[in-house]
Amino acid sequence: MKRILILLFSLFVLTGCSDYRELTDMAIASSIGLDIKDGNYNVIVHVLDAKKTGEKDVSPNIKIYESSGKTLHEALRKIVLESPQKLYVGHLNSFVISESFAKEGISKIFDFILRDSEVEKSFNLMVTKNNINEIMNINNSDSNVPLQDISKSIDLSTNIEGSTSSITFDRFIESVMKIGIDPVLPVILIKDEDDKKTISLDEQNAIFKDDKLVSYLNKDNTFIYNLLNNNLSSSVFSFKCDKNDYGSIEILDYSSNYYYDFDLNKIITEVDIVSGLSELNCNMNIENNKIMDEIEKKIKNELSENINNFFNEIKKSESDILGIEQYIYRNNYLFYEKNKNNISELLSNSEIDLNLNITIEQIGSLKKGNEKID
Amino acid sequence: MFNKIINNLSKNPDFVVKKINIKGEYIILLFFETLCDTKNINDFLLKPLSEINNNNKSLLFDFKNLIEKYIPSFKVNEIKNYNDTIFNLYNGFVILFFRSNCYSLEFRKQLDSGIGSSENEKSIKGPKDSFTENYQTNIGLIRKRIKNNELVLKEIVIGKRSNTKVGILYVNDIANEKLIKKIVNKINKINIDSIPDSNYIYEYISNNKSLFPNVITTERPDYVSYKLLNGKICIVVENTPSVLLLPAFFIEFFHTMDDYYQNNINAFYMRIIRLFAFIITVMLPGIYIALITYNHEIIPPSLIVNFAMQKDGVPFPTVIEALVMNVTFEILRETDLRTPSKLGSALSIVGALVLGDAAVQAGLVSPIMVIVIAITSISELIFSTNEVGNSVKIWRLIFIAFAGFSGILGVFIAFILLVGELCSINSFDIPYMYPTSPFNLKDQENNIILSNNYKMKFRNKLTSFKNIKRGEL
Repeated sequence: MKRILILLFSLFVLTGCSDYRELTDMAIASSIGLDIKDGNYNVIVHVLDAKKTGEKDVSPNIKIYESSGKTLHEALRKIVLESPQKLYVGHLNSFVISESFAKEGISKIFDFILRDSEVEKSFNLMVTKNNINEIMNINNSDSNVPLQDISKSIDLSTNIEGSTSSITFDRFIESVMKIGIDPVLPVILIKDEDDKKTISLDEQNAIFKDDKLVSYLNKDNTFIYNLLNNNLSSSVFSFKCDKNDYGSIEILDYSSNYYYDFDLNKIITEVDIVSGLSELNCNMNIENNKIMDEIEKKIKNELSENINNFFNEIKKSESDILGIEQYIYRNNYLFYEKNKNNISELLSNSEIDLNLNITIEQIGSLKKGNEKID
Repeated sequence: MFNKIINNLSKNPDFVVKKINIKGEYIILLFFETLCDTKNINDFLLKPLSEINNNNKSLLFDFKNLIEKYIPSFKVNEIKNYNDTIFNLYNGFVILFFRSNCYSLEFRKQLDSGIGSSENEKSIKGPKDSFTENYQTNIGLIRKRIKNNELVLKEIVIGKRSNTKVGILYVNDIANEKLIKKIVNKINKINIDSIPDSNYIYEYISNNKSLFPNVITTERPDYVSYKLLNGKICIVVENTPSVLLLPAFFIEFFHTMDDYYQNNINAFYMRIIRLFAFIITVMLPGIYIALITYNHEIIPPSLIVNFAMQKDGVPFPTVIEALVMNVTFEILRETDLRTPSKLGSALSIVGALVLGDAAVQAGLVSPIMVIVIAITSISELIFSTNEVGNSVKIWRLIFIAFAGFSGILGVFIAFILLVGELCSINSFDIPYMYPTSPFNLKDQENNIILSNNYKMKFRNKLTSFKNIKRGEL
């Protein structure tokens, strides 16, 4: 009993509340913007403002701090010069990188983030073409925490729309470190409307080769990229149903898969889509099976054209965002060793074999095209 | 003997010595007017005696016969020695002296408030009666529920001055005799002047060093009879409505008699709620402190800013805040218990205003802390047994201390200590955490879940191993 008491006593006395930190002593960082100029790290941090404003408003605002230093950690620590609280990056939400820095290669931020145990590893990474100072200093009443909102909309867009591709830091590191797969990052920009600046999503997405930005992927291609990588949970795809008008389907369920045929130098892609007709602006009687088949055929043609465009685009850029090289590395190591040096050449000459299946299961209650007019 | 009694007792103003002259001979009545019903003495003792005066003097020669025949009293005993006389006097008997003979007749006054409904263990459905301060009534309340000759009552009188009756009840063919023998021995050895409450008995017979009680204290006869039929031993003490049941399992503090009077699924759901409330009431302030001051990464990002905003402007460390709030609440609760009910409402208004609003407005405590302490304190009230509530309070402080020193790690250490304590308790040679540990599959049916099979057919395996089927005699 005596021993236990001594043990408990020493637990209290010797540990001495290590790591004790009150919430009010912390500046909770929500997003960080980073640019490197002449080897100097310029950091702009959005800190969630936890000061009570007196009103009963509970949604937080942000405070913006700027600093620079020779290393990322130094720059972040120097925020104390302006802020009364120590920076806490355990709940970091987003990290913005300038285009110029991204082109140089962003591996310089890896070391601090991976080494420091306090830093959250699953924040959203994004690139901006604008000046980092400008985009980080946008703080208007529309959204209290602008970058947090943007990263939410990036996630949503990736899931249910498809024109951007979100990536978290840990997944980014994974695809940089792994052999034969390259990441895609979302791009944000400043939207200047009626003298009011807001942050919005760019239609392009940045393609990286390892940790360097090499080119951009447009909206349609990003959709295909998300489709092939099974990133979507549902999405909308519109097609031309006659000369002027469009219709759209909602993807309800789908599965896609791609692999490489070593003998024929072919990339075989299989996509199965179960969809529902969500909008049809042409006057068609879809009770007729022939017309339904026609619609399905149209969608199929349009989608396969898009997929082919996507592959052409990828072949042109030297980075391998689909991870075909990784597929080869994993499935046929001998083949990989043999063709290690000319693998990108091999892939750019490869053929695309596309198996696309589209079925429309739900057509809604409007059956005859002219019902709407009557 | 007569002189000795008079010498010893005539100091008491309520001691009555009444001499009745019947044809030259005296009958002397001795009683306490505070313990006896004087109206009944008038009607049923003095009146018949005075009628003898008129009728036949020869009856007096056979005095015992006379009393048994003409005096309407059930208990008539002939008394031989001094001690018996005193004992009878104090139990509300009238002592009759005639010539050299001495008899006692019962004219006991009803000294308790009658059977009311249970105040501490309320139920929505089912019997509402509860034990009283009257020993006979209490035994009667149990007996009328088990009309079987296997229900055995052993009576021991303890307390050198109080002479309190202690009744040990058990069902002979279900309960464990070894345990009964042990308990009877222990009670016999008690050496004390008076027993004010059953808790004295509990402390004499149990060797429990833990904060958690290893007997059940109850005032509900239906609960007692149910548990008696599950092989438990019941101890009824004179002058107190709280009756002891032993041995006790920890999980039984989460069961109520209401559970057996309703749908099993409702009972199961309520038991989960009660267990959850137990965990909340013990651990919540500790966990909150740990999260707020050490392990910020566990709080969801959207919540952490909220917490920080609530905490903004509060000058005290979170641990101090928690302790202050906790102590304030305990003070409020204690005063509410002790104040007359007429002052209670004024107190609750002050309490609610001071605790709920003014303290927050003044920036002394954060609103979240008020919420945490409120939830914690409300959760504590699920225990009808006071002892469990008290031990929960102490454990809550231990959790706060550990969390304040080493965060969530400390909470885990405190949790291990709590589990260690609970598992080390031995309730009269029976493991306290049964049927969870040691695990018994059959008895799981009345652990957290309650099954029909158990409710209708079987008894607890450990306490009623002699006779496990409910339907068999």
